[in-house]
Amino acid sequence: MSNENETSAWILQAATGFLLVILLGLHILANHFSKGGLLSYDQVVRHLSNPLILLLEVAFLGTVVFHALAGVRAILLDTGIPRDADEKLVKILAVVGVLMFLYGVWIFARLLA
Amino acid sequence: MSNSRTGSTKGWFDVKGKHAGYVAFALHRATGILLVLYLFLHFGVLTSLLAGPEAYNGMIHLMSNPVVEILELGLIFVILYHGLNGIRLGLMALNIGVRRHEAMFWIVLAASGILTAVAATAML
Amino acid sequence: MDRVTFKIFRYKPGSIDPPRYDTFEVEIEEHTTVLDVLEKLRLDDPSLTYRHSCHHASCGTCAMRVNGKEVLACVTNVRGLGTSEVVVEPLKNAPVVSDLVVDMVPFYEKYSPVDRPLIRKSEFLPESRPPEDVEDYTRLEDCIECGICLSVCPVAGSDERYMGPAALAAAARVIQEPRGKDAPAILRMVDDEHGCWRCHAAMECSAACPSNVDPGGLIMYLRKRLILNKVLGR
Repeated sequence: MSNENETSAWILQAATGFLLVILLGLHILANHFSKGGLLSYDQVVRHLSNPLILLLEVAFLGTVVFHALAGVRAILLDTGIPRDADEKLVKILAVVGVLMFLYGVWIFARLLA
Repeated sequence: MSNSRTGSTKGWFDVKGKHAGYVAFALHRATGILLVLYLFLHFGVLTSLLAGPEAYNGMIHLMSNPVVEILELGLIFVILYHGLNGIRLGLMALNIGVRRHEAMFWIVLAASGILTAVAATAML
Repeated sequence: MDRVTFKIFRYKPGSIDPPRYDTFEVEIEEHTTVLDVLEKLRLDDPSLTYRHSCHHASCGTCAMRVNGKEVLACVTNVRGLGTSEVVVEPLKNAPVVSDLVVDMVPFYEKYSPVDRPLIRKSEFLPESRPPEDVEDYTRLEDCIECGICLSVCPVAGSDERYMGPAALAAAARVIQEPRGKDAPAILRMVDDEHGCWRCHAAMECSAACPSNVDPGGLIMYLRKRLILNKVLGR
């Protein structure tokens, strides 16, 4: 009955959660304190042109998408879905996650082009 | 046999008669759901960046009003609670502070409230 | 002597269906318990169904919800509730068989795979001294299998596959004190998406347990063991 990946799944959820405390904190601080704010398109582009900021945002994007979708899985598991449904769910969420991440990266790329 | 008495997902938020740890769970679940919804909303808002400067600037203009600012404060509280309680849950899973988990919840709640108030003053 | 109004959940598949609440006016004294009231009411209404056995909080059979909280009816003092109306309902998260009786089979079925031994060697009271002709006290495990923890657990309400606090606590006891059982196998068994990882640390089980089992704490113990094993590569 045991699923030896479940402990790892939880460790990843906890680790990304902890990472998000830092990354999300930096994300909010960077946005709040960016020169002039991010209230216009040009300011956003200038903000993201800083390579450190871009790195932060990409890291934050990947981490938050993972943590959010793993959280969705946890909620659905709480409704009692069996193992085979869970395996399908993980595949679906993985695809959704990759698409969300790529979409975000694409927005950055378009802005900086 | 029929059972109208088994709980359901609504039981997650039924905190009547329950202790602090149960409230902590209910809030963590509620904030988690709100944050997932916000994530998709945020993706939607950032999509306006693809449509060019007028679209993004117009959307920013739409969102620069007191109602949105209050919602943003609510969001900050939601983020703070979920993050700080998440740390509490991580500690508990390592069997740290389990005996004092109720006190830890109150600290999390208070810190979330205080830091939200700080953010409010920074925003005004 | 006080007068208290009792509202008691009634349900019998096929006859009292859908469920309803019957109201009784009851006279209580200083030491009257909820179970005492049920026993008295049954003399007038023999169809009132509930479970009871030891009447002193050792067997766990009289677990039910009184004024919305899970308790053992045999030790719940009516005057101590402090209300003029008392609502009595069956446990949650288990199918109702009749009135205040729920089907405990699903509960036991979660329990048996864990293979819990009954007699423990740890946590004797320091002041316990057996009488002269008795070599040693026999200490039993705390859990009286009343089902209260399952009733208060938020996950047990939505996930029928969840092992639940009682079974997980029993598993933790096997791992803490193997007593000849296969502790590593039991640890592997709880490492499951419907095992200890479905718990969200609401800790209501530990708050409601009438027998000091602390299932929530024991589940955290299991998770720490699994996390450390994984991280340290054991």
